[in-house]
Amino acid sequence: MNLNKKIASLLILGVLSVGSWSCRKMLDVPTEDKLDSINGFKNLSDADAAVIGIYGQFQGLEKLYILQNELRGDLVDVTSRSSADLQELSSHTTSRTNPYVDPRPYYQVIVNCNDVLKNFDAMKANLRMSVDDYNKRYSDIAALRSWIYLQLGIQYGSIPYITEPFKSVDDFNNLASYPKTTFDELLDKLIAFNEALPYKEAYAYPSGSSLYVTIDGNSTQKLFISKAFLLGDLYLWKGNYIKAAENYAKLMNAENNSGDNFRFNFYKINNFTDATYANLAVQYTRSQDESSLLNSTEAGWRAIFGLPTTLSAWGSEWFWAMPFNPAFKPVNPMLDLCSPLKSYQIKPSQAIKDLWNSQTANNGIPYDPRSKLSFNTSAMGDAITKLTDNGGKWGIYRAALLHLRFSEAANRDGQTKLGWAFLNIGLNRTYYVGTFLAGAMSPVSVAELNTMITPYPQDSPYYFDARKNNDVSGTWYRSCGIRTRANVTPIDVSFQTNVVGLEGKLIEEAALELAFEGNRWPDLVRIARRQNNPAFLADRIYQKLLKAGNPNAASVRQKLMDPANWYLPFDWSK
Amino acid sequence: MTKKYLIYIAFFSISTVFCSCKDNWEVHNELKNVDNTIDLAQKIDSQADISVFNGFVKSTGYDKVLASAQNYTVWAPSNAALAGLDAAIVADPVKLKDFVANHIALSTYPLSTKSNDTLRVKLLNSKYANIIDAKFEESNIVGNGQFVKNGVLYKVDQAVPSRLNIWDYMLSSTDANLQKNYINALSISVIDSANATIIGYNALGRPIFAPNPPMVSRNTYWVNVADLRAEAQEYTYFMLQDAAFTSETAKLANYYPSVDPNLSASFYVVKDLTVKGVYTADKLPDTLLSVRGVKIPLNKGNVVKSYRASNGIVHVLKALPFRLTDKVPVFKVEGELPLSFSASRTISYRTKLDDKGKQYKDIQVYNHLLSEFSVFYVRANVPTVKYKVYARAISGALGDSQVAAFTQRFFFLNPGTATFNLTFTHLVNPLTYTETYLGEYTPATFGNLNFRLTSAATTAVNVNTLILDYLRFEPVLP
Repeated sequence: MNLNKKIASLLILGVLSVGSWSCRKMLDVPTEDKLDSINGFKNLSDADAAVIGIYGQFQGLEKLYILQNELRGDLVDVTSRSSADLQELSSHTTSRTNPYVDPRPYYQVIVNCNDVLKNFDAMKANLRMSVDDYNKRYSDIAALRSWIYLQLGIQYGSIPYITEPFKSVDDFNNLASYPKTTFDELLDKLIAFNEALPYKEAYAYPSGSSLYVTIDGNSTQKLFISKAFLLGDLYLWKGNYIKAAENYAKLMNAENNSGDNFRFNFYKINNFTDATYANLAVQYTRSQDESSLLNSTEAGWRAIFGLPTTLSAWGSEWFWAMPFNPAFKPVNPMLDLCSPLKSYQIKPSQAIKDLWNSQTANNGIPYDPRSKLSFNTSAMGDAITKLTDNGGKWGIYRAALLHLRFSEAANRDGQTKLGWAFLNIGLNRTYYVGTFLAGAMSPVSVAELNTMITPYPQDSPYYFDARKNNDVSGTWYRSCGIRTRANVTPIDVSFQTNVVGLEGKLIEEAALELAFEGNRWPDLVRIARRQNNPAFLADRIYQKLLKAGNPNAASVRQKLMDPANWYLPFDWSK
Repeated sequence: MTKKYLIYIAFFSISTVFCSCKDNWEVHNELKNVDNTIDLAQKIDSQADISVFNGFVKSTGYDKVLASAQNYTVWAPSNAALAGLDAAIVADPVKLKDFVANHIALSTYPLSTKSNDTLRVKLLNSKYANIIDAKFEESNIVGNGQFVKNGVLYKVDQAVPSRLNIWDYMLSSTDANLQKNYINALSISVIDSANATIIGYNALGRPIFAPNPPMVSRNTYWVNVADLRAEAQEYTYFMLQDAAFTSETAKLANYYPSVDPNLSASFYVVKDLTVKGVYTADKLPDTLLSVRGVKIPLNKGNVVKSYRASNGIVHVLKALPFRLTDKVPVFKVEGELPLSFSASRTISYRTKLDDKGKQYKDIQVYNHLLSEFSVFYVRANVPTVKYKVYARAISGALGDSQVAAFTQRFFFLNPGTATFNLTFTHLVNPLTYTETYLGEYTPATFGNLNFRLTSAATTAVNVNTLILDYLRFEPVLP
């Protein structure tokens, strides 16, 4: 027996004896129904569970997101039954104790993201997860956290940007003592962080991934954040328009190499009637007859919100949406908030109803049919249906939003006519120069045909092939523009050369198309900030309050003329 | 730590709310003079200044009612107020019972604290009384209500005998005999199906009644104009003295030559003699709208007498010169309200804006592939007079495929021969927002006006289109 062996046996003995003597440790059997944090991240399934867990918690932010972004904006108003807190939020008179200005819910998710990211790092270091699996999961949660920070920046202005996990609960309670990052600095940090992510493909998890499955009748493909969309948004807020356009264009062309049913329909905004792959346009079964409007959660424009996430037609519009299931928690909070038969806290404002009524449909019907497809009118009150159709989903990113944001970026980048095309009548009808037969484009030469391609180099984000004749079908030939899909008349062609004018029209279209979906307040802040024109925001809020008969409308306008008052107080002292 | 304090503060404030709530509600609901030991009958019995009314209550048996477990409100006239009561009421037990019941209502009514707050209360004789501030109909409520265990007792300074309703007053009156007799003759007898014995059902599932079933009288005026017997409603009703009735009927005789009393000139006079609400003679405006929507030109000087009925007010007039333009009105037949079609085709009921931004609805039948496709229309009870006929049809507006001019035709039914005859040819030029004058038309007889809108005799698209916003009929009156 050599010395080494002696030492080893002594050590074993020592270890064993410690085990037997310290009774406390022996009795401290780990419980089986609780997971200790050290044991939480052992294999890929644990990592997947962490991702799903984060998204489950994230979904609880919908109520705050919709209320902060829509009720503070001008498209949603309070009802006679709204709580005092919501009335304050709507009229921009929130007190510090108002629960809807509390940033804590956002940070509760952020803290968990930080923790999960740290553990993913550890799993990669310990070889418990492959680099490929790590790249996707890490990038996903990191992008989600960035999205939440973007929200915080929009709502609160300056906020603490924390990316490391907390060691104790006290750290969370002392969060207010962290240094604050201004909104502008925050955008820089988020752009740098997201550009450096290891996985930035169009979809978070490719086909075959353990996180791309169908579960309880829902596909998980679009359950996760779209990173290119987020990057586009960050660049758009920052004012880097070409980079914004590049990221948006990446998604617009995401299915270009797939089969015809995919490449012609996915993210193209068309009014093609194909029951399986498209069919999301406003339709009338009898032309010019308003009673024949297709008002169904299964077909036509309203189906954007009502179709199940497993169908291709739904997938052709959405990039990021989280369905609610009445059988499980969380329950869709909008069911309660929007229904006059329940607590009925929010309703469409008079301002958005007037805006819809000021449009004219292509068939002469004197209002925008999207109004009827966005809310129901009854003697009990107007009920927003967009957020609750077929149980509802929290939809954040979709193709119409993508096209409007792309157009906004392109317009600011000097491509105003391109923005006009996506807004109104689509690419080929805007750019085509050539022969018409009976009102239809009928190119008689290759030169004429090629005018249907947008006049940019192939590697430009502004290059779109929308050619169509009997021989050639360009990927973008069906794209018809947002207003044509909604069957409303295009705006005047003079906007093709009017940058600021078109920018206003794009935001107006966002109201018509995306009302109640949670984009309004950020849209108003972004444009008012960019144009250095507080009245862009203040006048719209003023009109909402005025039309609702709020006597403080003028003073609220005055208040919002100061950009400092756009942001909620970041108050951690409650 | 702060959270703990918050909880204490919350508890404290909640408990404060509870305490203060209790007090406030007590103040709100507090009733003075409550005596829960006796009932209304006993309360009335114990008061010397309403002993006469108490006597009536006992002799009519209402003392048993007022001693029951249900809650009542009693407005008791003082002895002084009953001194001048019509002896006929006291002498007749039926009238006396009605008189007492006219002062009692089921349920407890506190005095309203809001000024001019009107309460219309159903009394035990099924009449209604208006209570405005401290007035029970025309009598004043003296002092506060005396609450006992089954209700409240008020004292009033005047007796309030029950009134006739408008219908009964009209029938009992001799101020407008022609009008009364005409309306009364509109009665028909129908089987009282609620009380008749059913002995079987016929093939259509309708009941067969036993021979000589009980019959009840129904007046068509109740259905076609207003049920003047309804106590819960309030109407102003005009009765025309015979001369006025005769002249007004004569004025309409040519236009409404129907032999059916329900559609005769007399009917077209009396249908516009009832107005919703009560307008006393001193507050009559110069024009009122009848329940059938026709303007009634009024002159206070023509009111001969007025009667306040239980369900409104009746004015007897010596003249009520209706304007012929109101009685033989301009009317429109809307294109989007057709009766039927000659074939099943896709019909567009359109909502569009005209050149002035005003919304209108119309009908369009486009590319229907039929020659002489027709849309049928009908208008009931059209007065016989010569009409100027105008049409409005707008083509070529936003979204409309019909951009070329086209011709459509109107065929009117001749009831005598039961054939549709070509009456007007209508050239529709695109974007014509004004009316097009088609020509004159005079119905052969009083009754339904039937016509059809017929497309060109071709199956060609853009040529056989039909569009109609409306046809406007303007009577040519003297």
